[in-house]
Amino acid sequence: MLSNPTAADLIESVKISLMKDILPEVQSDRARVLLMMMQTLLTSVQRRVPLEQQYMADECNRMQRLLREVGEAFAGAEGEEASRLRALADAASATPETPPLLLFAELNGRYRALSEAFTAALEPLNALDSAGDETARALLNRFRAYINLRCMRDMEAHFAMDAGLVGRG
Amino acid sequence: MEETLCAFLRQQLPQAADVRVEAFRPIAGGYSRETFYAEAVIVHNDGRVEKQALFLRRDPPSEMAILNTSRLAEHHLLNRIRQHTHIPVPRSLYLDAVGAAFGRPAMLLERALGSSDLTGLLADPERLEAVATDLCEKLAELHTTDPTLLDPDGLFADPRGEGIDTSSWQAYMESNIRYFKRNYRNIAYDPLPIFFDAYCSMQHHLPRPVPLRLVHGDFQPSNFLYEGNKVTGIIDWENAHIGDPREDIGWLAHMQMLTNIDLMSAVKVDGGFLGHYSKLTGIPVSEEDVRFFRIFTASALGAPIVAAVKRRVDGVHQELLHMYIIQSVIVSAPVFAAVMGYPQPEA
Repeated sequence: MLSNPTAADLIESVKISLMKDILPEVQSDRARVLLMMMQTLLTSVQRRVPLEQQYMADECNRMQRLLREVGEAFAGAEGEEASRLRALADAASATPETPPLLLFAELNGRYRALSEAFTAALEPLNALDSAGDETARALLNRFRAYINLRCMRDMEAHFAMDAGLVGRG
Repeated sequence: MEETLCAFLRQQLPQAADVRVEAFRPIAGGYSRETFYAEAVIVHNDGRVEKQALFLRRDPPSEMAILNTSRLAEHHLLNRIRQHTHIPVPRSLYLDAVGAAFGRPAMLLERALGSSDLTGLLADPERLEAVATDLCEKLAELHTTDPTLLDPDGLFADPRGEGIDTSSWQAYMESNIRYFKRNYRNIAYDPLPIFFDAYCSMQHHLPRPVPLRLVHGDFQPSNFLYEGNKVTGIIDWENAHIGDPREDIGWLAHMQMLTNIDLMSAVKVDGGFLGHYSKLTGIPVSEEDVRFFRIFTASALGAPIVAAVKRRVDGVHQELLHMYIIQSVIVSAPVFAAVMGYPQPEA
């Protein structure tokens, strides 16, 4: 996965270009207003991307705990409301606990540091492989199988040039 | 810019009664240079009016440059190729080597004849075969031309100042691979294990040596023009350098796969492109060599491009193009994996 630039960095580059390259070319007031709206929406996405998965995971557990508490509080109670609350609590309890996610900045930092170590290991592995070390050869193959997975995931998660390279030739 | 061009042409043509510029427009002609089209209307003293279609190629600011190459070298090379070979290349008419007129180095090229639109050609197998065969022969001519004729002053021995040693084939290959590894820190806007692995692996799998020649450096389907059954222009020589001639074949193979424009398979004579090229040049080229030079040339051409991306990611400048180019880096990685024969991912 691409750890640098982040999704937020890419959005920032689009916002900069909209202001620097596009806005001066825009003639109509309506289009200028729409462009400012785009800036706002892009800022919203920029803020949302690094937070939403972590916050969603955390809040799933918070909601589940509250629903469970409400079910326990009205466990012996009679009446339609209490019975509705118990049913909702039971349904929420059936969902497994959501594993907490690291904050994006921390996860990104870990991923990057490991990627650097992994990359650095390729040089001695190649040297040992070329010297005939069978263990290094087998491990280099496994490293390459992983890099292949990484390439496939990058294509799935980042690649968007479906219409080919724009603006060349 | 239009007025600057007009003033520059008047300065270059002091004997003309008048020079005007018409149809001036910027064109999307590549990422590396700023390119403009113009028609110079030259009124001679005898009243004769001459119209000349021109391309103005100007360097971008160096921190934003995708490729830092020399207009002076390109200018000399185009005119030397015209002088010493039959390879059709546009004439380089005027040079502003230091940017005295245009603010940054620039050159004015005549518009070469022919079309670069391959749509019609690809739909006509006979014509495609003729043009692809001609292209193969033009490449063979380039690679059999004495490099001292095209590079008498050593401008192309290490044109980007990367520490490349062209004193022998072995020295050339080893100094390039050392450069790829040394330069990794300048391109790694993010860890790029597949490219680093390629650099580490290449030094242990060198192909057989062949004589070094002047190579085009970006020999690919979008860099030639044709008319009828003939190649009428080979363009975009800014990456030319003294190197292994198989680099041009590796890059052509690489780019035709990426662009889905297969020229090499269209050549039938002598068993195909590689056979015909080898017969004309005396340089044997195996499929294994082609695979090696796909990686080698992509690494060489990619190095300055990805370094420019890193400068953008590091915040040196704010051009959008460089962020966009990351898409090309992403799509190159699985191609490297396939060419290098990477195993399938583990479950």
